[in-house]
Order: sequence, then C-alpha cells, then structure tokens
Amino acid sequence: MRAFLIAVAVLAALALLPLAVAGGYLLHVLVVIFIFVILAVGLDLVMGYCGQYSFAQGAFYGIGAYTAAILHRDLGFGFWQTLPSGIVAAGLFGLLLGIPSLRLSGHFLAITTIAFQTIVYLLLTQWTSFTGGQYGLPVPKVGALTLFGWELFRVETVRDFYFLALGCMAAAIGVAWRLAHSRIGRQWQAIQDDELLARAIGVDVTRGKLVAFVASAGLAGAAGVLLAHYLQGVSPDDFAIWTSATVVAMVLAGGRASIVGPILGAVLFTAMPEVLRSAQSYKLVIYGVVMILVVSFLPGGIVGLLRRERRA
Amino acid sequence: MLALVDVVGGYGRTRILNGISFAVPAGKVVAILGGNGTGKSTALKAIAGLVAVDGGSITFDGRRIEAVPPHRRIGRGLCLVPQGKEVFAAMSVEENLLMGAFHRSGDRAGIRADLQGCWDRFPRLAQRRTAAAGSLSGGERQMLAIGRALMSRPRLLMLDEPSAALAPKVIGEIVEAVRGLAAAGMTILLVEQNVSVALELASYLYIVRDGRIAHERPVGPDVDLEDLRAFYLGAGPS
Repeated sequence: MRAFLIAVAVLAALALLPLAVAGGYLLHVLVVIFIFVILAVGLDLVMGYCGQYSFAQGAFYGIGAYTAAILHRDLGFGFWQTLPSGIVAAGLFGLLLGIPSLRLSGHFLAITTIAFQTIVYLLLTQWTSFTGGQYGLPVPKVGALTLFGWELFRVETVRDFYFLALGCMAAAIGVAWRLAHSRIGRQWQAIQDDELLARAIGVDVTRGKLVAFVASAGLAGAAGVLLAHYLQGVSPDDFAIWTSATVVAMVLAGGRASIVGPILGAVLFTAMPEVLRSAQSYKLVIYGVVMILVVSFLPGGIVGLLRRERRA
Repeated sequence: MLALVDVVGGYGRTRILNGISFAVPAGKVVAILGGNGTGKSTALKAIAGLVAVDGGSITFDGRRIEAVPPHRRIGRGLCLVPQGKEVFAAMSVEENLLMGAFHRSGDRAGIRADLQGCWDRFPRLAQRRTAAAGSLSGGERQMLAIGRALMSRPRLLMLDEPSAALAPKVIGEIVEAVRGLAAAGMTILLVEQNVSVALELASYLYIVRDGRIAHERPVGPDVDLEDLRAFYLGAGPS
C-alpha cells in the first residue's frame, strides 16, 4: 500500500512537471528514461524474477519499433494499431526465444539470446528491401489519438509525447507489478531458485518460462513502438546488442526482481550519459566500472543497498 | 495405491531404471533401500514426473500416470520431497509453505488451516516463520520441506533420503515427525541409504540394485540388519 502511494505521488509529480519546466531538453531526457524504464521493467520479469538471462531485450525493442514502421508503411496503421501490433509481434518472438530456455539455462541460454539479438540486428541492417537497411524507415508523429471517433489527445510536441510516454510507462509498471505479485510471479521465483524443486512442488515450469519471455518481450515491443513514433523513424543502431547490454546493466545495477530497482537503473543509466556528456570518450569505461563495482559489491543492486540500510 | 511395473527410464540416453517394479499400498510406509547410483531417487523422480519414463507403467489409484505432466500429478495427491535442495532459500519459511499449496489457489480457508496445522506439527518452524529458509539448519530445512509437501495435501508422500547429511539427534526428530504422519494414516514412500531409519519407519522394504528390485521383504522382528546390509552392498545372496 505504501509503495502504491509513493508510486502515485511520483507519477503525479511527473505529470505536473511540464507545467513547471519550460525546457524541452529535460522533457526529452525524461521521455527516453520512460522508454528505458519499460524495457528494464520488462527484462526484470524474465531475468530478475524468472532467472533467465536474456541479452535480447534490444532485439524485442527493435521488433516492436520496426513492426510499427512497417505496418505504417504497408497498411497505414496509426498509433492505436501499431502499439498492440508491436506488442504482439515482439511477444511472439519472445515465445520463440522462450523455447530454447526450456532446455538451456545459465550461460548457454545467455549465448542463445545473444545469437538471437545478433540475427535480428543483422536482419534490420541487411534486409534492405523490407527494413530500409542502415537508413531505416520513417514513422509519423502520433498525431490525434481518437477513441470511438472522439479526439482524446493530440500528440504533436515533445511535451505532448511526454504525457503519452508517461502514461505508457505507468501502464507497463502496473502490468509488471501485477504479474510479479501474482501466482505467476511466485512461480517465476520458484523457477529462479531451483527449477527441479519448482517442478517437484507442482509448478508448470514450461508455462512459467514462456509467459515470462512473452511478457518481457511484449513490454519491450511497446517501448519500441513508442520510440519509433517519438523519433519519427527507426534505424537499426538503436536496437543493437549494446542496447540489450545496457538494459541488463539497468536491471542488475538497480536490483533485480524488485520492479523499483530496474526503474532506478533506467534513470541512472539514461541520465548518466547526459551528465557525462563532457566525458564522452570515457563513457564506456565509466559504464564498465560501474557495472563491475555493482556486481562485485552490491549483488542486490541499489534496491539491495537501500534494504540493507533500512535494516541496519 | 501406487504400482510400478517394469519401469524403464533415465536421463536422456542414460538409462537408470532397468525394469523396476514395486507397489505401495494405501496407509503403509514402504522403504526403498540401496546404495549410491542404484536408481532409487530416480524411481521417485519418475513417479513425480521429473524423469522420462521409456517403458513400463506407473499406476496411481488405478490410473496410468506416465503421460500426466508433473504439475498435474501433484493435484492428484503425489508429492515428492527431493533430496539436496529442499527449500527455496530466498523465500521465508511461511512463503515456502504457501508455495506447497500453490495449486490449491481457490481454497483459502483450507490453506490457512493447513498452515496452522504445520505450525502445530513443527513448532520450531513457527518460531522462524519470517526467517529466510536459507538460514535454517539442515534439520529445520527438512522439516520445512516435509511441511511444504503436506501443504499440497498429498495422499502419497515421497521422501528422498530425509536423513541425509543430518546429525543423529536431528535424524531422530525427523523420524518422529514421519512416524507421526504415518500414524495419522499417510501413505509414505521413503528412499533411504540409512538402513536403521528405514527399519524404524517402514513396514515393507525393497532393495534396489542396478535399477531394479533385487530383494524385498516385510519388516518384522526377524529382520537381520547384517543380512540387509549385505544385500544392499551387493554381496548378499541374489
């Protein structure tokens, strides 16, 4: 209950922020943070809760984004159609990647997800006739959002998009929270702890893992659709392995299996490059050092540290 | 209640069960004895559905169950307490117990009553209700694992070496707990390496060697411990 109230307060503050801040730059950074929060919270389901290492979140993000771009190009879809399509397309690929997880675990599964990520990236760059190759594809602004003929909201400026992204992020966090704290969430934690024991007490491990992969990929797909409309275009480099690794870092640094952790991780890792703009050439080094420090000294991430402080 | 007939199975191509047959009548405690690697744990896993069965039949309550997925078998009343990794270390004692009642999601009142039953049966667990299961001692962990299995309301409880790696005094406590369950009418299939634990609890013994039953006999006052040991080590008459 307390967590819920804090969440509502934070969301309300974020919703009011554009009234106080005129600058588009801060809103832009926040939009990017919101999108990465969706990615990280999604990955937390499969990696944090279910314990299946996936380095393919960037690929699902790309599948969502390109689904939006291609369906707009070929069928003239608008945001209301691209959003569910992107979620479904990414979710289906999530199901596909979930299948090897039924037989592989640990490093072997991680390698498989890296291979999947690489294949998707290669398709995005090389299958030029379908994906536009390195030039990518254009995507329109979201424009008017109508429901049953009523215009709800017009998304033209960064500020408008800020509200849309905020709403999507809130919905994604809500979905992830519900999943993680329901029966399936408990199954995931049992699978993560010990698969054989989970099976022995009657957890349907196959279903549990597949649901985790699909939910995680679906959320990444939603993030991809948002990004495509926000940038008004897609290009492959946003969906390379580097993105996947960053999302993994967000979840680990923030604190896995906590929902809040990945949110903090997404804020940290999205804000850091902005703050470090002057130290651009050292960015990768700083990322790496942060990662190593977190994994060595803070296995529970930021959230683990906060919990320890509270107990002490 | 449970009958295995000529069950063949193992992990992938590695065959461990070579036509094992045994039966567990309702309300009895049956023990399977055998050395390391003879297939006794694998037999339990086959019954629980955790190991592939390539031949033979497993019948529970008169129905074949080889094709029933493991998560359905628990709903029918088959529950295994595996050896080695007994509890979900990161979860609390109470969460572990609730995981045991996982497939009974609609039955809140029943789950609450069974949870209370568990605290009554194992007062030491009640004291450590909120502790992480990973912080428990070996004996407490075994109790928790048995308690968690009971939360599934099993009709056949399978225990895989409950005495493994425990101090003699703690083994005594576990034996007492299992005896209590048996006295209340629970059907129990026990796999053991510890002959004296098996003799204390079971009314019928099977000895496994090379993935099949090498010897079987009821437990009575005439059981010769040395004889059994000889069987079990593979040196006895066959």
